[in-house]
Amino acid sequence: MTRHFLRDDDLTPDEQNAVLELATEMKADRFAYRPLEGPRSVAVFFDKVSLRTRLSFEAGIAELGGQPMIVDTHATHFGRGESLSDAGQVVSRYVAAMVFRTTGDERLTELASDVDVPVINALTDGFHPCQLLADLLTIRERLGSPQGKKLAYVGDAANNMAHSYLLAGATAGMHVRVAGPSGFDPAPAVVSRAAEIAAGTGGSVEVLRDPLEAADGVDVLATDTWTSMGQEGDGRDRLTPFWPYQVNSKLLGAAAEGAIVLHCLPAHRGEEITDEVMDGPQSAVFDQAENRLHAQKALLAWLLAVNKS
Amino acid sequence: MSSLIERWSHAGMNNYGTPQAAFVRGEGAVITDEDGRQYVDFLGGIAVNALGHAHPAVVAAVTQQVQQLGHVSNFYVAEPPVALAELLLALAGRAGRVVFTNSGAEANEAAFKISRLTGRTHVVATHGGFHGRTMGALALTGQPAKSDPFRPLPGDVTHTSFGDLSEMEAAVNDRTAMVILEPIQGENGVVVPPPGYLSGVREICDKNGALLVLDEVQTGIGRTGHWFHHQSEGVEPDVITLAKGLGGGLPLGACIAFGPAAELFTPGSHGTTFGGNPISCAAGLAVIRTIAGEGLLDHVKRVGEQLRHGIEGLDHPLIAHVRGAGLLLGIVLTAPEATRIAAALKEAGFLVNAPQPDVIRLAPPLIISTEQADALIEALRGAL
Repeated sequence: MTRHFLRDDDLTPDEQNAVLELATEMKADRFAYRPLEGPRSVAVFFDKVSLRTRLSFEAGIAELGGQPMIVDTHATHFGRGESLSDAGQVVSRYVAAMVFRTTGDERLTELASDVDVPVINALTDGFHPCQLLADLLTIRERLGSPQGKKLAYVGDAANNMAHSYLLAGATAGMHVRVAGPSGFDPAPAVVSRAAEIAAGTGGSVEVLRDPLEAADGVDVLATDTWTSMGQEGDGRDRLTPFWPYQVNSKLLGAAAEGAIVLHCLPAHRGEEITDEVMDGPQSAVFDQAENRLHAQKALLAWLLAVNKS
Repeated sequence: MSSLIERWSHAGMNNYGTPQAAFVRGEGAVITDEDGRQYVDFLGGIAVNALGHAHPAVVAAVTQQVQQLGHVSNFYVAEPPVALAELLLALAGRAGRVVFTNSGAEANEAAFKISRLTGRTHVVATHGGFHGRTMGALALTGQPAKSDPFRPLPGDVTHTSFGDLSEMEAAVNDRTAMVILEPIQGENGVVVPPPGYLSGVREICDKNGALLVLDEVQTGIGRTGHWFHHQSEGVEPDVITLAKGLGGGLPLGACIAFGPAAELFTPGSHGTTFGGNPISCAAGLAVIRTIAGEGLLDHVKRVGEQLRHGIEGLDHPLIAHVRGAGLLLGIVLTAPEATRIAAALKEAGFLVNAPQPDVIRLAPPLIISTEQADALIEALRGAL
């Protein structure tokens, strides 16, 4: 059974911890780990545009001694005219791993359905698990172990970041609250799965409406854009209901003293987060962006090792 | 007659008939009678003992709680009911509110009262459905033998054939306060509706502005391999009622409402002395955390399939098929011999029951082992 990383809950609590430990070690000695020496290649497919994901994977694969192959799928035959499952089987013969940013999660699972190299989710409509590894790495650096810490995610609670905060936060033993306006709630099945994980890790999950209630006493306050990729033309008002969820000084004032602010970027300054907070002393957003590189390198190294054993 | 049963026959009312056995202790899925004879418990106190008997997690939680704080009344609140309410809502995956009760019947009474606060009074339920034996719950129960002696019963209740969407469509109208049904009818012989039934009923409720109340008293809390059985179909009810397995053997029920239905109870609407009792809720927390921490949902699905395949694989002319989900299974017979076979299994050291003349019900603890499941299949071969 090939181990993939398609959703945050593909890692057990112990495994998530091991990946983050490895990320810390690799970050401290950035060019010492060469599991892709050869060089072995890693294919990184993009159905959607990217900046951080593309560059962090490209740099990270190179730093691991490997050869990144960045593929904009619109310029190739990938997944067009042949099934993603067939495409995956072909590509898997060339590479050590595959990374895929796409729309529906079913496209990712189809790619991974019949391949013996690990497949990594680099963002889908449902989840953004690589980002959460970076977030947890940032939390560890700033606040110590995430176990028992409180995190609130406010804004579009129906998007991939909300889902990943629920699953990955629960896996890390955190108390996760998500709050968004009516009509922008997380998928019940994801909340339920997160609650199940949290019940085993000592964490908890809550779906709330009131942003101040969500932010009350938290150690981590996180948000994301109110309009995710692909939602620009969905005809929904993605401003008016969201203003109460803006991460500003007032909302941050409800959090615990010394709380940190996370945003997976790109930020729409003045909408979901104010300049004052984003550029302020509690903001960890640029460390968080850097940690994409270290977390993804560790994830790749861990997946290569676990699939070899 | 055993001495306990003899004493009971003088002191207890005869509403259950003569007890079939008198038990003195249990451990895991094994229970011991007063003569020291051991049985593997494939009924689990009728789907109650989710973690079997004397599970260390439940014992520790209850012991700790009764030493710390046993009861506070509903003028006040303690930590266990708050934590359990939060956890149940999280497992349901949606924002809502919880009221705790002591039993499934009482949880359904609460749902009945919530439905009345919509301003409507008509209710639709299902033939064969079982929702409890208190007067309100009995009015919802679709089993005339249980309810006829007690008429008149409250409400304006229409019963429809379980699984029949066209009957449901005809029965629900703009006077309907709620539709209440079990995702799988347990007491009626583990009757499974056709695929799409729950979502069809959801649509009918939406069209008419009626609440959808799912009685998950028997199917909930991991029994079918899901936290709530309706999650297997992706349906979102307005109200869920729970009991049985929730307390792992302690008396505990819950009525969970979502969306606008969660706001219908206001101060004074409802109450119950022991609802949300800290000891029962501590047990409930231990049950859920154990199911989650030990990955029992997957185990339930696996052992359920093992039992289904094993029993159908006996290829016996008396067995038509096995229906149900997870560890709530009905062995459907080709002849009305369920009572005889249940008695033969008891002789062989296995507890099951016969909810219908031609159905044997299995609802073992969720911790039942694959070896115990194999042993039951072998014993059934002999009992047939």
